Amino acid sequence: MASPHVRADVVEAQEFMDLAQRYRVRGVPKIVINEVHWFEGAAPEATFIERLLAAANPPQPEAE
Amino acid sequence: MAIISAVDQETLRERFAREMEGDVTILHFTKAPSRLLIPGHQPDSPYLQQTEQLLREVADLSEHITLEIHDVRQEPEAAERWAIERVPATILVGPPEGRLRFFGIPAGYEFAAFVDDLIAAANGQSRLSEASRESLEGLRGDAHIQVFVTPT
Repeated sequence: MASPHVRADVVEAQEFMDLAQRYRVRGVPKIVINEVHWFEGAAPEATFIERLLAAANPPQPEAE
Repeated sequence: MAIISAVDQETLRERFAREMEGDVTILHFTKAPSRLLIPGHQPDSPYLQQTEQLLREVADLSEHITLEIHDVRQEPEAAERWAIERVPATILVGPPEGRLRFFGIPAGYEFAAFVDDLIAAANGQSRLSEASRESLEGLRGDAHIQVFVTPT
């Protein structure tokens, strides 16, 4: 809700087992960002935000 | 038979009255049960009717909450407009304009989160800390977050 760049889906894994399989959900909560980044378990807020930025921001070119 | 007990309904009613300042629309997508089981197709979620009933009960507890129900088979344009491919799907539309979606039934522990989100969506408020919100301003790409949960 805090950023217009972010869209969040909560998916109940037992009803959508094909999705749970696609993302290899073994334990919950499992958080998947932009299809490829993921982590399991409830992370503290600051860690979550860090991971979100790492996943969504394009990699920085190396500084000279 | 109600899904939410009378006591819980009263508790929720009071909480919404105290905490909800704005309006929120619960946009719910479902489909009428199919009588055919087509091999190779994803079977329908067994919770379609319960989810609908649960949402109706929640919507009745506050004038700030509007419930809109769409059948994806009868209204394919609505499903496409909101990019809904699976049901039951529930989108919270408040000032954040529907960027929070739930797939499946928001039951068990998820129900508490759902209620919190409903209030936050109505009030257009994020529950993140100031520091988090500032960090988020550094977000340059788009992020699609999927949180996989179970009701127990």
